[in-house]
Amino acid sequence: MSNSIFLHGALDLLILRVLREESRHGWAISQRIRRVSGDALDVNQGSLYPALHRLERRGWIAAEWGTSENNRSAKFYRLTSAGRAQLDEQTAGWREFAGAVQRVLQHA
Amino acid sequence: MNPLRRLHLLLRDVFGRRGLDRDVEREFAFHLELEIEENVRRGMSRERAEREARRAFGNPRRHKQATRDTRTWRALERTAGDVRHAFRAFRRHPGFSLAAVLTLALGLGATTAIFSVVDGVLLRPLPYPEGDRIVRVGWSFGASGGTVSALSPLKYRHVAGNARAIESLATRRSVSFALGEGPDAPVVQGLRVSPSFFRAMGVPPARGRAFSHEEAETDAPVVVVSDRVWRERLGTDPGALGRTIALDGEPHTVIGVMPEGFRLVDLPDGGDLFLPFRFGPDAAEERGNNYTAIGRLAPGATRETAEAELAVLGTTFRRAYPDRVEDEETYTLDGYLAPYVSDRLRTALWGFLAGAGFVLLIACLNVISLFLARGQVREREFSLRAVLGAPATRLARQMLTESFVLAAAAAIIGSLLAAASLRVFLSLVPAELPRADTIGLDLRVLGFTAAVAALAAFVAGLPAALPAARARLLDALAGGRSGTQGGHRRPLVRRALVAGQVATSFILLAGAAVLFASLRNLLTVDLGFRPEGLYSVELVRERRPPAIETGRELVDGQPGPEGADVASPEPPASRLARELLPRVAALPGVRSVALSANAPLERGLNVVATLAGAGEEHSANIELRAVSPEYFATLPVPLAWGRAFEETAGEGAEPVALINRALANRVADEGRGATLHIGRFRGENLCADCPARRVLGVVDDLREISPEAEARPTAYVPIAQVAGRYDFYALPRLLVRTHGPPPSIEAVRAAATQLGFVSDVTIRPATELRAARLAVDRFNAALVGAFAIVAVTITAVGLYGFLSYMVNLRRREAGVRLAMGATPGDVVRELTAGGLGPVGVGLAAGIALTVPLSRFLESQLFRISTIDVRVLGAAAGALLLVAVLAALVPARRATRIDPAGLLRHD
Repeated sequence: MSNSIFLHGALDLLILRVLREESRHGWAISQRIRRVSGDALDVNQGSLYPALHRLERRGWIAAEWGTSENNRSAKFYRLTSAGRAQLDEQTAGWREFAGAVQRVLQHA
Repeated sequence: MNPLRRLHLLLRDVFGRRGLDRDVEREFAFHLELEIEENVRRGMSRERAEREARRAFGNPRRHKQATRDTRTWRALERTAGDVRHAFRAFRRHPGFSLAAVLTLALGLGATTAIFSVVDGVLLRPLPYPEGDRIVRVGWSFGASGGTVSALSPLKYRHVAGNARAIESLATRRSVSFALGEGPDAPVVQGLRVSPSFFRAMGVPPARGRAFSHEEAETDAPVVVVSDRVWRERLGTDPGALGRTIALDGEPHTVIGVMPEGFRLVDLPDGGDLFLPFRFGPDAAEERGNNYTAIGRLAPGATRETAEAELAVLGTTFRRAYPDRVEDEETYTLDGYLAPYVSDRLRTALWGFLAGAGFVLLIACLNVISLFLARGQVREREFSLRAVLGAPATRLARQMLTESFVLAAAAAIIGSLLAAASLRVFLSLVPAELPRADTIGLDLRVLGFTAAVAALAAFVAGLPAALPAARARLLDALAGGRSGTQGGHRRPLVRRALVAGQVATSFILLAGAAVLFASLRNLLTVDLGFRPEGLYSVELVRERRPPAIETGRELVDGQPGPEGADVASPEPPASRLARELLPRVAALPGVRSVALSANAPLERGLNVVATLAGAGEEHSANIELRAVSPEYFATLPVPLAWGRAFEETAGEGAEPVALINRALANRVADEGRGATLHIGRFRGENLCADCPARRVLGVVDDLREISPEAEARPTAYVPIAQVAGRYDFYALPRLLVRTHGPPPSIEAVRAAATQLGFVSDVTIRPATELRAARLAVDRFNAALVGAFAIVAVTITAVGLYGFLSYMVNLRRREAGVRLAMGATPGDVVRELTAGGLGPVGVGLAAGIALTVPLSRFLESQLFRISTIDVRVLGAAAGALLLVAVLAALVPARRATRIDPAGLLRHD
């Protein structure tokens, strides 16, 4: 719960990052974020979807209905080239920001 | 994002809404399935797995909503939803909605109607290119002397020749001509104008050309015609240029046609013919400031630079003619329409707009109060929606949407009201109002209405929206305690609203009462003569071309009628006096008849004159009235001393005059033995053949110009002695005093037309002339009165609403008291008194505010102080009476409460 305030701002970035290697459907994205973060980022899973739709609308990701691993139809999201550029930009921005916060926490 | 994709998304958003929603649901379902399977794989029971999956997912409705909110059209869609919701809310509270819409509609209607007048008269740009750069040059006689928006020929030439900031200075003079040949030739109004006139207005002829300086100087027979004349008289003949048309029988060459739609806003009937103007040979000696001077600010010049330059020129002129001009006299600069929009009218119009704004304010206060009252009822609904996940801002937006929908409906109804009332309104409008014919509801005005309505919606909706935005609404659901604690904050607000309404209504009511009192004073002020039973007969001269001049021979062998421009062997006034007067005097019911160049309550002629008596001389600008000897008996005017002039005081007789007290008091001994020399000023004779006149006597001061104005220094001279001198006197009025009813118009017309040189007569009672003079006052009083009535009505509705609400709040208390044995009278009295508290506060505030606001009214009032105790008392009393009536109804309802039922209700 206490993570949620940080997560809100970072969710877009996390989604873009998770989609960098391969296209995934919504559940797979949330699963991936949970796994890699060691369940630290336990997203209120539903809030993933408004974010996905927002990113799609901005043209950073594209969506397509396809067939899932267990043969069910699912909506797959993939990163567009605009999204890739955005990911690089946001990653750099995040690193800078996190570094700054880290420095303040250590030295202030 | 590329435009095609954008369009695709947009179309999908608009037309594929349902499909998108379904997609989202499918996505959610798929997500939950996988999550549940995953949980089961981890070893949870099916039931637990489902529960955990749902918990982890969160509220699907909320997520779905958030997903929808990302769509392009979502904002619009949501607004549409709010509007639908608003309409549902209105249907649930029809009384509330009707009251709110109608109150707002009244306020908006008043504002719209007044704005259309203010816009048409004051704000709308002139229909000429850069019309705001057209200026008029006039002359100021100093602080006490007033100003005229015209110049003497000498000053005109001075400005035209020297001012650099003003170019194309032009003058103009109204003329009328019989256009075409034959006895039925129509009379057309036109202007003689300087050649630069067209440049000053910024509108050259659309075809052909304007006349040249040479043509003006030689008085060439050329004419520029209006588009209307070109269409109707010349048959849109492209070859009309160069054609010759007859004006009063004289051939004139048409050299130009003005563009379609060109009209003179200050002379709606005056712009059909334009002929060259030139000053007469003696113009330099003409001292009167009688020539309009219209010019255009030169490129780069501003009003300020032009004014500065004119101030310098004023000084030069004073130095050049020190004997003619007082120290503080100088040139003035005005806008084109300024002479027609007096300061008084301007103040009045802005005042009306402010008044309408007050009405709108009261209406807004009412709507606020109604919203708050309903907000109480709706707290549960809002709490419920808050619990169900509607964000607080959403609820606030809902309230504002409702208030905007209300205001939109009110704006439509208000515009219709304004359109309907504008007709009544324009029939009351003073005749002096320029451009009144252009007043109407157009897009400009409706745009204003829309803007004001939006503002009103915001003002009315915000107080209800703000609390709705606060999350503490949950309280209401928890305890249902709206009747107890929650209620106390708002009655205070509502009390303040009622007080505000009462204060505003009071200001309007007091204003209306003062204006009505002033109007009554004006209608009853002693003019010095009795307007009742006095009639002014206007003779309309027949314009006949010389082609039928033979008609002249028919009348007693005397020379017949003449056009104004031709020197007449016998002035028409003499013929009228000799021939028409006796016939009219002989009509039944007529007591006496006189000739006068101007009817009472019309202006006389402004001349300079010197009154000399007992070794002293007094020069002044005076009012000159040329009248026949019967004038003094007809009005009648009492003589302070002396006698009226005699019937024989004709052209050859001794020059004589009567003066009024205002003039006589300037010399010793009430002017006994004095002489009056018209045209003489400070020792200089400006008029070669104007004789010194023996003062025969002094008459009492009359309010002869207007009921509002004190008598100006006035001289009365025998019309027969001056008739040939001023062409203004071509056809004097007949003043007829009867025993009551007006003289038979047929009989007068028959007598006049028989003389062969008038074609028609109109008869106007002097009371009507007085009414025309008071048109502005009547207009003021009627309008502010109407505002006050509307304001008081709205306030009564507001008060009624407030008290109904108070009674509801105190139902239980009233019920218990009734059960305990209080009489219904006690309860009514107490509730009424409780409701009248804010009324008292409002009245006090209104009275306090009236004092500073009243100075805006001062210029509009006659013989009444703006802070007249009786008037303020009457206004307060009327308002209080309405308040008590509005309070009694709900208070009486309280006594019908059934205590037993109330207890069961709990």
